[in-house]
Amino acid sequence: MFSGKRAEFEALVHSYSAELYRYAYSLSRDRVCAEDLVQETFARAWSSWTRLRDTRAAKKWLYTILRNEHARLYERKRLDLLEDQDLDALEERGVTTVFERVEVREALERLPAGYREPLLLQVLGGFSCDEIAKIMQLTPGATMTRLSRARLALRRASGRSGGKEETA
Amino acid sequence: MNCLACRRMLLVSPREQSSEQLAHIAECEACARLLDELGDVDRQIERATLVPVPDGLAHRILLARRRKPLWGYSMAAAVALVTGISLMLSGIFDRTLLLTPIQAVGPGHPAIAAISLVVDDRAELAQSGDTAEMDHRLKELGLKLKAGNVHAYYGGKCHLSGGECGLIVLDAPDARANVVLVPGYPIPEHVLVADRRMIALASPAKSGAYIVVADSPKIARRMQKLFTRG
Repeated sequence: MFSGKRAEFEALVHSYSAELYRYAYSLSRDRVCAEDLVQETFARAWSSWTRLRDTRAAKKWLYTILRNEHARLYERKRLDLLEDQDLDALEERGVTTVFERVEVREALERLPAGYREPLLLQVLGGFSCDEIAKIMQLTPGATMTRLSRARLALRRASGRSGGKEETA
Repeated sequence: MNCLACRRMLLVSPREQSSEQLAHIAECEACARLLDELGDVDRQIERATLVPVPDGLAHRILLARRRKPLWGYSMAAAVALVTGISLMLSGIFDRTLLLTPIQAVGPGHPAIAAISLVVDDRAELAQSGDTAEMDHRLKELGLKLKAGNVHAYYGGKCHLSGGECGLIVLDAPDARANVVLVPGYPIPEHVLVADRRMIALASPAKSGAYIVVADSPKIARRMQKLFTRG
């Protein structure tokens, strides 16, 4: 029984450690912190392993743990409404024109965390809107809005659009 | 579906399209172009997140789980050492048991976890009294219990460090102990730990381990002797 559980857990580590590292790196932007976060995530996952009833939910569970750990360890403040203003402010300052010359990577890093995170969870983690909403403790509607606005900002950043015509 | 609705949905998730959306895209050049563009943006995001993963990350994670933090080593080593010396001096333990090197264990060791289980979940460890299940659990480990004047009853199943275990309560007129039967967790030798004012003596069985948790080393050893390989 122990060896079975251990084997399952080890398989999970091999399957998701790289992906989680990249997600952790995107949150912390620091290699050491990213590895610490992944280590801590798996340590916590192992200590609660018996509580996981469905191993198919393991991936979402791991992402949630990692996100919470990042918030706990680095005392990141949850930004909600303020982030809307941040994004608007970026656009109003004419950042769009700057974005046109920078890579998507830089644009991604400049997105407020509240917008970057759902996008990364979708593109990197492959999660659905409902799953992202649960991980980020948002409503599905708010998640869709953030995804939409983040993608619009990045699209502008890549110089493909200069206006808001897509959703206007 | 009109263009506005289609574009809104594409911005939310360009990878998933409903049949209605697909039908619209097939006929609308502008929306098809937007789909391509958003697909490109997503691919760029994917590439942007492909930072190199440190070599051996998975192995380090697994190693860290097996190992204990330094403070855990030193604390547990000290505990084990002190316990070992005091046992040696008091002559409680058999010579064979003491001849094995004293090893350090950390907070993740099942013996420590067994103490936590008994201390924290004492109220929840209800007496199930299922003798057949107790016999099955013992047989699973290749053990026999010669209880003698000690009353043994099955306390039900419990979870320890990620695995399902069985719990036996041993009740003597002058002492009491809990024994956690841990299948599939082989240990090479006896491990004795002291934590939270309790003693846990983990002993190897044929296919796993059994851990006696008691108030004192003397009681732990006395109860441990009731188990034989069967």
